Amino acid sequence: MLDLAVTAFLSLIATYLFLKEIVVKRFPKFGIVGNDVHKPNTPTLPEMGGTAFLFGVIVYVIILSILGLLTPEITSIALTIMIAGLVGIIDDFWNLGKRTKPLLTMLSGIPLILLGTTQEYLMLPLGISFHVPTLYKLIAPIALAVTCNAINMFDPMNGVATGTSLISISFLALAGVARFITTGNIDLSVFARANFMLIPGLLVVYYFNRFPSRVFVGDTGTLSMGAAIGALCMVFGLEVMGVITLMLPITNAFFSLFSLGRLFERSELEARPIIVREGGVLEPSLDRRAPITFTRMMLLLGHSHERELIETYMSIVLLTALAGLTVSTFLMG
Amino acid sequence: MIGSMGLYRSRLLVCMLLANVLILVIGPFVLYSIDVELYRLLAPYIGRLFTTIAQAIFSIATVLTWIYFWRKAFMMLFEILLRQKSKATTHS
Repeated sequence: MLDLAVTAFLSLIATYLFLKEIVVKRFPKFGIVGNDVHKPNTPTLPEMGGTAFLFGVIVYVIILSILGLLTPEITSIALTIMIAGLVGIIDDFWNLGKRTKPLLTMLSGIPLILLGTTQEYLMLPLGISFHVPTLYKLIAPIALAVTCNAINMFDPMNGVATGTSLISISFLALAGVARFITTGNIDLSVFARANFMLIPGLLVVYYFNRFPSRVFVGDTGTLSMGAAIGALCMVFGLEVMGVITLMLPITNAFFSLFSLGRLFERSELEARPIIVREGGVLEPSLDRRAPITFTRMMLLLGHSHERELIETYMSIVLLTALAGLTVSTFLMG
Repeated sequence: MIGSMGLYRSRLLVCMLLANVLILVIGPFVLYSIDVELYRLLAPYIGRLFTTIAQAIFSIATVLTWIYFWRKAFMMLFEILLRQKSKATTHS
């Protein structure tokens, strides 16, 4: 356990140094920047902070392999994150099309299939389970595309995507421990290794990305974090918990797509869903051509400031995560 | 503090999300029970293959109905809020 804690600490330091020394100082020199459009003076911030998360995962995996603690589960989760991160890097640089991105994120399911680390049983609440080993493998890429793109589309404001990912993975960790205590149906040592790989890096990235952001995580960050959540759920059989915890991002993606009736890129929108007024006051767009996003709904409900919206988002994600933890602990039999 | 106020303001959305969680918990159990009953009723008359097809059609129809009503409720809420906001903007 001590070696795991030290490895996690080293990965945390690596992520922090990468963000501070490379993303914050070097990326702006290469023009890897974006504007924070919800602030009154639209400040320019370094982009692609998600690369630091990927770097932290790589450092962790290298140290773990030196210590001889690397298992197929950890390898498959790390590779899944890397593939999704690579898709994110390509998207950040060359803007993949609206159809290409979801299709490419499906590739991140390949390590899970090849290393055979997905579950054989699909466990549902109230004691229902299905033995579907082949179907599970077929569904894995689709499920990963859903989690990746749900988190990717749920990055409307500072720290929302990173905060949601951090809360989700922390609660998945709690759910895993609770399952170990109640049923013993999880390998706690491997599960701990997976969580030590993800949580420290996410904490650092969230620290830099939280309101007011010093760094944007970009598609590199959002896609890799979505892949991390999806892979963790599928490798350790926490699918229901994952779906409930990600209820808000999935609903947001679902209604954005439904309102326009197609996949879309932000750049091709005829009308933006929110309008920024003087002093950073946010207003919902009354234009019917704009997509129906959760942020637009919340603004219609009376919210008007970025900070207030972010705190409400985090409260809702916490609430759904708590609901997921309750279901996962007491109703999965 | 702001978070809890924000939660109160967004209570309609939160309720819709929690209703969905409830459906996710109860739904599979209800669907499974109905499928078992369907099997018991139909299998002796139309055989296993057609019973499985009937179960699949029923399950898919139920899930699509759920998505339809979920979407309808969300859209209705959006339309009401948009109308209220438009009215308020016109009056001011």
